[in-house]
Amino acid sequence: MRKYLNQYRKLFLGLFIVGMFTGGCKKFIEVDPPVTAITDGNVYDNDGSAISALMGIYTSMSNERFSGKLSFYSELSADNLTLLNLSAAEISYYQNSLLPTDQREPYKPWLEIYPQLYRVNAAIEGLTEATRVTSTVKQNLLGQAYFLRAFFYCYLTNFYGEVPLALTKDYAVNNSLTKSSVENVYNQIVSDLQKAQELSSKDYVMGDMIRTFTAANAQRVTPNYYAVKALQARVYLYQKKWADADAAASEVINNTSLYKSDIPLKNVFLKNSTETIWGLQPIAVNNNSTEADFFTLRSGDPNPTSPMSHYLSDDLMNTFQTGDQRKVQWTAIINTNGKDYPYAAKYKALSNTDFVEQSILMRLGEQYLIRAEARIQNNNISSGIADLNVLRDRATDKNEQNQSKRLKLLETNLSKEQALTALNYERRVELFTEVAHRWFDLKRSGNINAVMTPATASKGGTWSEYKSLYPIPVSEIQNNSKLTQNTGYPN
Amino acid sequence: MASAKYKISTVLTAVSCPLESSRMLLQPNTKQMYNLQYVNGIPKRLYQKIWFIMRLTTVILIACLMQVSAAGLAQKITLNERNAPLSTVLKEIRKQSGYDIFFDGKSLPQSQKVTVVVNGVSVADALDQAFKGLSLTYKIDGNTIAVKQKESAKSALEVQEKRADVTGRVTNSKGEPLPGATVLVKGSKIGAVSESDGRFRITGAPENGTLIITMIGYISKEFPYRSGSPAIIILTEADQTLKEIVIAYGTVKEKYSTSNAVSVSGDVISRQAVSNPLIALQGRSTGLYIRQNSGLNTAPIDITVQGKNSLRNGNEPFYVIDGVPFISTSLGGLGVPSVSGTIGNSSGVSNLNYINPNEIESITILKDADATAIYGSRAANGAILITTKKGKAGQTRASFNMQSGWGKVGKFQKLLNTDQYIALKKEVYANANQPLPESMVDATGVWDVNRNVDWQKEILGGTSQFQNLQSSISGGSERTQFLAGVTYIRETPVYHGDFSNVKASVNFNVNHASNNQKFKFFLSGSYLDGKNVLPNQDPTSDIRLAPNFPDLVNPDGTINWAPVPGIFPVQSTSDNPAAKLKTTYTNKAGNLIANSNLSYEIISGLTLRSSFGYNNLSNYESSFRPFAVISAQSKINGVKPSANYSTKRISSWIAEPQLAYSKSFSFGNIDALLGTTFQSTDNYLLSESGTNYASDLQLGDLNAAGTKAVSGSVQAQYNYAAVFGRLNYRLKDKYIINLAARRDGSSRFGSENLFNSFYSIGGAWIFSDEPVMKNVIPFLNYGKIRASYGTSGNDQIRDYSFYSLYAPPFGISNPYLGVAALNPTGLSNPYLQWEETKKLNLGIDLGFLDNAILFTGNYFRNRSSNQLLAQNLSQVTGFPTIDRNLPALVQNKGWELSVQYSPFKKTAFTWEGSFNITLPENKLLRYDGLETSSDRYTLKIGESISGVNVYSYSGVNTQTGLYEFYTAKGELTSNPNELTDKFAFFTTDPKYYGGFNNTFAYKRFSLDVFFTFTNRLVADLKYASVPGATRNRNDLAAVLDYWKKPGDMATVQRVTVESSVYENPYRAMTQSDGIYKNARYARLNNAMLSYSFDSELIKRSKMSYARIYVQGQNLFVISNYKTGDPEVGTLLNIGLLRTYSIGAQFTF
Repeated sequence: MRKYLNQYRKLFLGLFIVGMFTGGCKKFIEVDPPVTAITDGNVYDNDGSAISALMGIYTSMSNERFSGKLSFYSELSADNLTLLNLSAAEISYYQNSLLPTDQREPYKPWLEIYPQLYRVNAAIEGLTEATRVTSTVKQNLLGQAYFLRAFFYCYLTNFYGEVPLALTKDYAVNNSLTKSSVENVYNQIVSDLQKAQELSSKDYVMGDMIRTFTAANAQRVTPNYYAVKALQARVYLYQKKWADADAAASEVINNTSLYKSDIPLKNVFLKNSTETIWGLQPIAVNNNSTEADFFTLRSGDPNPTSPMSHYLSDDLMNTFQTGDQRKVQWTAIINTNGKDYPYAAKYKALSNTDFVEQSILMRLGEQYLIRAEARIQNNNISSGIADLNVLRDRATDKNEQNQSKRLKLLETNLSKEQALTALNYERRVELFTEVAHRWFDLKRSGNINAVMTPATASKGGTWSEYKSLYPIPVSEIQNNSKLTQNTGYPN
Repeated sequence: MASAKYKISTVLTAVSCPLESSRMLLQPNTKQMYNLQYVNGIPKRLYQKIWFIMRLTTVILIACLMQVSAAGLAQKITLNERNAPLSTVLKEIRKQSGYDIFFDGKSLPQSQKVTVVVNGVSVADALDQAFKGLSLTYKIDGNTIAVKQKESAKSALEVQEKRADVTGRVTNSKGEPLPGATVLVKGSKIGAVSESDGRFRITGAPENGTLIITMIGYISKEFPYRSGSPAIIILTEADQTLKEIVIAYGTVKEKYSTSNAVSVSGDVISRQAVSNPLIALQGRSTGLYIRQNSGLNTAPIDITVQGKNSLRNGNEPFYVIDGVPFISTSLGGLGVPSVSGTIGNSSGVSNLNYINPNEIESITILKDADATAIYGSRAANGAILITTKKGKAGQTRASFNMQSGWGKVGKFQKLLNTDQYIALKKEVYANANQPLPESMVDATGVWDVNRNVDWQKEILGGTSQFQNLQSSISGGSERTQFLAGVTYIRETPVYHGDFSNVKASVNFNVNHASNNQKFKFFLSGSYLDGKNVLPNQDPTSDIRLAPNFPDLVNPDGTINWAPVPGIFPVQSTSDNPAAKLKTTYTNKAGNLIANSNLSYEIISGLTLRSSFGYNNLSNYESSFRPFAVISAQSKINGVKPSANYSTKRISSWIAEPQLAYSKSFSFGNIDALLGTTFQSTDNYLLSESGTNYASDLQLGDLNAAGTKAVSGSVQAQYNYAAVFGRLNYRLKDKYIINLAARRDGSSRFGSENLFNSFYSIGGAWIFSDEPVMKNVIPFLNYGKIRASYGTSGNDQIRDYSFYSLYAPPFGISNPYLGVAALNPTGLSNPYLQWEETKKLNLGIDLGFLDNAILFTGNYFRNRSSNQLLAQNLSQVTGFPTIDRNLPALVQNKGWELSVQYSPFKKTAFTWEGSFNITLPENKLLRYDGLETSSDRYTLKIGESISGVNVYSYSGVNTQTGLYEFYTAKGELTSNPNELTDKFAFFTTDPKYYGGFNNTFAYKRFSLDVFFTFTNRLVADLKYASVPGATRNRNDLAAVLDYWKKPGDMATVQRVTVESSVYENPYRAMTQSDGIYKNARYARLNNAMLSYSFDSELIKRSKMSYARIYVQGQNLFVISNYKTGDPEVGTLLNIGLLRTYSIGAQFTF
């Protein structure tokens, strides 16, 4: 008996040894993430990686040429560009013949913006729950994230109308969203901007998201309080909330220590000019704005067999009033095969030259135009015209002695209709080839059919009203059956 | 306890049945008998008598009482002895009866007290009374009484007391000595191990008894012996059916196996002149498909066990070397390239290349769930167990093996000669109504039109060399054995240049058992140091250089960069292959594998053991572009030498504590195993690039580079834990059931699905052992049916794929606001899980005519579900896809048949052979959402997963001269629609494959001939190029069968440089079923002729074994496929080499 006991004791010992190893099993196989990457679980756990994640958004906007593509393809859809190569993939933008199924189309803002929105939503979720991020850092980053969400939805709804409103990073939710009404999207934008306004720093922040730049040395590459105000002004204007737009734009214009319009035209697009409210820093050494790469015609351009086959439309060139220095300073001419081709020259520095320019997403000139429009619409015509004259004054060549060759300031006693016509002129020549302003202006002015019917015909296409909205890529509807195609487009 | 009983009973049998045993032994018909007679030179009857006498002498008769009573023979005995010594009683009986009593003084217990009270009884009765209760018996013969121990009750004491030396010799059936056989005296722990000449000596053995002789690969044997008579023991080689094969966590006799597993001996592997042991497995096992992509042994090879199970993830089998899992695929799996442009295949070098084929004892391929379920989540693609050679007890042996080989490209293509080439160039321009442009210097006469070079001979015409030197020393006692070996392998490719693949390795192992054999210890280690210098790219594609292309190298040895100055200076390496050969790739590798095993028998049958393993595979890769490969023009532009470097390390450890229980009961045999696994693997990779070196001499030093950059970085950890168990029950050695289960946890899977369970059930019935079967089919000596069903998993997905990771973007040189950016890399899915394969296997094993014919048949059906696939998402989610387990179902089913035969086994001429064939079928059964998935272009329900949608080729239109295809509506067109007309489907999966091996031996000669064969679709290389369309590129001669005029029936469409004419039909052709040919090919994979020297001859030189051989690898291919090597099937990689080698093997 004793012997048996002894044997069982040994058996139990054996089982115990084996059993000991089985404990802690779960812990053993739960490995930490690799040092070469950070998980979404801990990226907003400290200042460093939280800032890096937000900078990742700007970095990829810069890297993916967000600004240049936005400016170029929206202008192709509108009436400021002429395309020579009618077999290029760009033709469907140019002739307003976009198709949801076309795989060749090089630019679908939907597919560029929603991935950014995922990052923004992840940032908002992560920062809201973050407990270990310094409060100033958290406040600045969160403010920027809300701003970015508003900014992206503003573009989405203006390109596509009703869009799904993704506000979380949960793919299961986002993959089965229905489209939200334009009104709801705007409500969300306004609400996000309200939060951004409360959180954002008035001065431009440095990379540590704590210190701020002085006005003179500001790197205007992250949105500050005034960028929020500027976007608010734009959104209120689009919503026709004239008084709100006026007030928001005024806040920006009145901060003359940061923003000044009295600079030479040629300096407007220099990096961190006093005109800049928010710009995108290039992320490669000696790179400049992506707009310069898209619009500048080089020797031999426009080439009828290459994508670089566009130039500024006659319609735009003929619009410039006599003496408008914006035609002289912001466009240029290249002579190819004996013919003069004008091109946008707001940005002049190409990539791989010294870094002097960066893409500007929001600038002071637009704020004057917003306030002018808001005031004219609000029947405060003379102060509206005063704002327009600020820009016209800058576009006047003060050295031109011949007054008839000088751009004249507007009379302050214009009728509302005259004032609005003057405003339309100012918006077109001030904002051409910039971040989709022309395309959106056409849409919201209600003139789009009148303008685009002949314009598209002259481009070789046919205009229909439904084309003022871009089609939703067909793969999006295939992968989320709750999405519906914009009216007019085949599915 | 039971074991103790067993020991006693064996002692009893050993002592009690010598006669029966000897009678059995002396069956006149047995071979053993023959040998005994032969060896001793004594006639049978005489021998029998001597044997009998000898047996009697073991009971030494001593005449104790020699007095003969004069009192006459009183027949009645009267005794009244109470508690008197036995001897006194016997003396009294002698006195009264007058009989002489003989007894063995030792066997008679002198002190034994007996009580005998009889009155006037017979002698017999008196003796009966006296011996009552004692283990003594007697025999009355005339007036002599012989007293002896009752046979069945001789005390162990007595056996132990008589000690003698037993000597003998162990040989095989051919009379060749068998060293290393274990010879044990039955029922004792006394034993010895046979020496190199097969002889053994056991000292202190009982004078007679039974020897148990065991040796791996031979049938164990019991042999009764008497001291003084040398035991000549002939072991017969184990039947295939009784051989032990290695399985997961143990071994099993093939006869009792319930699995579909195939074992290949190390001899078969080291016999072939290849440095990657996997290549040597080709054609050796059913269900194992191996295809070489390149004639370079270092290149990765396609290997699948019973087909591809996974749609998107790894289909590699699970490799285990002596219990340590081995990662077979080169690192870089996290999407970070290592050094690019690696030769042979972009995925680099096969890690199995770092295993030395000479060190392998056997390789077992586990296929069905019964064999693999115990490996759980890792073995859905089958498992390949590599067992290395171990030390054997016996006299210290040293063995040497030397082999030298030479190889050439097996088959050259037929290319156009210069005349044909120029004529074709001229024709393609004429057909397009275009003048021959000035830049076509190959045809315009700028290059010598009389020059005709076969670039195959220039580029691939060299001779490869293969050297294999191996030595090992082994030996030990029955308690401690060791082995240590050194190997050197060097092979060179056929390219001209200083290229080689060198591997040197050392290995050792030690086995030790405690005195009582309860505690056992094993330690082994091997380290391989490899250096592989190869061109950065395979120059094979350059055999298509124009046949009149000028010399590649100038007389001064520099590369000829300007064959036609002024017209088009050659700038890229694609124009001059000499540059490719000067762009070198070096891979220095170190592979350490160590493992140890401790085991302790806690109680009889129950063993606690634990294995620990460690593997560290490190690679240092570099790739150089020296000045020599930079063209003159580029030099002017300031291009300087550059280099890429990559440091890789995979290190992993594993610990597996286990409890094993094994016991025979009256109700059957039970084998049980319970264990746990802990495994951890670390991956590390750092890739860097350096440019703008000032000089070639500094290329190895990154620090000397003008510009440095990191191009890749991986640090990944993979942890793995499991509990597993197996229960095997065998009843009457006929009915076997095997249950296995495993619960696995892996760090590769999401937090919601860390663990999963796998199981299998297998059974076998050896129906041939049913008595009725012996009568029904007398020529069937072995028959077994098997069935198994179970699950196993595939966890070959990327590490951390369930994490939503943020990683720094590449190429940012001006960080945003000076801050390094982080971007999310994908959506996380915490539910990610392994793919699961449910395997069904039905098998039959039959042995006929004393196993002269052994047949094995298997039917398998494996269904893999839970496929890890990308589910397409709306980009509103931020990403286009998410990894998910989808219920897509892939089925692999098929038949595996193999026959082994040995028609001449016991004569001077022997012939043994085997044939195996596998008929696989791969099919996608289900894929929800295939229509919208990006997989819709490559997958089709009901078709193979390695297939592709293609156009249906009709032929060359006799009027237009263009390729024509069927549209979906059945019309013919040369310009089919990409979206609608790709309705045909085909796959390059093999229809069948197998191997055919024959070994003939006559006296000391042995010839081994091994064929492999395959039937699959292979691209016809004549469609690999547009004939005549590319400057400085030749075409296969087969393209000359092109369409020339209306009415022509041709296989190649009209030739022209007008791309608007040829391009669409040609592109469609390359995406059609027209270019694929059903290739059936058989390859003489290996042939070997060897001669082993006469034992007397070699004995004089103190050797125990000597053999020389000539060997040929890949000697020829019989095929209906005419363009190139049907196995490689591309012009981009070098074909398989034909290698001849000679070698010698000595053992001292």
